[in-house]
This record gives sequence, structure tokens and C-alpha cells, in this order.
Amino acid sequence: MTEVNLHHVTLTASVDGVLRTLDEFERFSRTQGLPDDLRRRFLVALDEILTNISRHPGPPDSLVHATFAVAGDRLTVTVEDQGPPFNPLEAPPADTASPLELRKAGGLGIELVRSLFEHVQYEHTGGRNRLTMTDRISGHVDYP
Amino acid sequence: MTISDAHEGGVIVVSPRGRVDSTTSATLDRHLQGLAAAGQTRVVVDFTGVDYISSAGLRVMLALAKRGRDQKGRVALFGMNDSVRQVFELAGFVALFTIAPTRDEALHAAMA
Repeated sequence: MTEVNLHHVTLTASVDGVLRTLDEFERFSRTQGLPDDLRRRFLVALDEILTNISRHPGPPDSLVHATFAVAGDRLTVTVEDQGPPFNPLEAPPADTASPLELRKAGGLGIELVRSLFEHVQYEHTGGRNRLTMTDRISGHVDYP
Repeated sequence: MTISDAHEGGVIVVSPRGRVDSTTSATLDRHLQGLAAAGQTRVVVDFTGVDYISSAGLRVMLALAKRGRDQKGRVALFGMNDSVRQVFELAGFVALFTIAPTRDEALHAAMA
């Protein structure tokens, strides 16, 4: 049976919650010896997702759950919140091609979340958004 | 995040260290806006100390590029790790910036 190393963070949808979760993911990455490239991509995604949630939070006092799991050669990060249903995989594409004078930065975070990992899955169940991101634990990166 | 500046031949080299994300990007933004307000229009951003950048940081970089254009200044970047470079590529930002392979080449581009 594959050993699973799990770490769970419960946070409020707030700037403090984002910062604490990023710090905890840093610690988890170092404890697990995750490659820098993988650690950095997941930090980018956690920042995007948790910042989004803090802007569109669920009911007052509702909590956000983040889980980091290493199983075999896979890292899986799951984020669950009770905010308004939002499927980042179906959000409109960001502008990545306009010339400088017309370029807007909107939607880039979601674009990154969609593009940075081998596998990203969204479900809305039991009044919760659940976003799951999985990637291989290796130093390899496939550039687009 | 810490940010240090170096002046070289009319160019300012800005070296942020740490993450450039939602928790730190406002600090970098204020710093860069301060330079623009002081009339410093030739700017090199040194990414060698930057661990990663998220969209909050991209927003700051886009504002820098737009100010550079408005002020007829020069902006050049160098020293990105693979993760930062990948984020710039996915966002289509490589077309918006001069990304130099070395510090010297970035300085040269900003002096041009």
C-alpha cells in the first residue's frame, strides 16, 4: 500500500488565512522534500484560489479547508470553501495576447490555476466548492 | 519581502527578494510607483531573489510596463527562475517585456 502523507489547514477567508496557508505549504514542501518547481507552482495556485475565496467568501465565520497530500509520486492539493459556486475551469479565458496599451490583468490567476498542473478538477457538492489539483513529483516541467 | 535598489549609469536596478504574491505585491507596487514619481524611468527588475510570482505580482509588473510606456522610459527584467519564467509565458507577458539573460544585458537594454 502506498504511504500517504497528509496535512490539513483550516483557515478563515482572509488575508491572514492566505498567508498562513502559504507558510504551511512551504513547511510541508520542505518536510516532504518536494522539488522547488512543484512547490512554487502550487504556491502560485494557492495564492490565486485563496485570494479569490477571500474576495467572495461564504457565510460569516465559514471556514476554508486546504489539504496537501503526497501519495507515491503524486502531490494533490484540495481547497474547499462555502462561497458562491464558482468553477474556475469554466471561467472565460484571460487576455494573454493584446498589445501593452490594451492589456488587462484580469483573470490571469484563474488562467494560471488551469494551466500549471497535470490535472485540475472542480466539483460543487454539499454547498461547497472543491478544487483539486494534482501533479507528479519530479523536477520536470513541460513548457507550453 | 525585502527590496533593494542600486543605481548604475542612470538606471535603477530593483531587487525584490522572496515571494511576489497577494501578500507582498502591494509593497513592490508602492516601491516602483515611488521611483516613477521621482522621475526614475529607466528601471531594471532583478528577479534572482524572487521565489515565485502570482497574478497579483503580474498586475504590478503590467503597471510598471504601462508607466514605462507612458513616460517613454525603459524597463528590462533578468534573473528569473523557471517557475517565474513559466508564469510570464502562460500569462503572455514575455511579449510585453525585455527579458534579458544577464544583468549586464538588462542594464544595456534599459540604457538604450
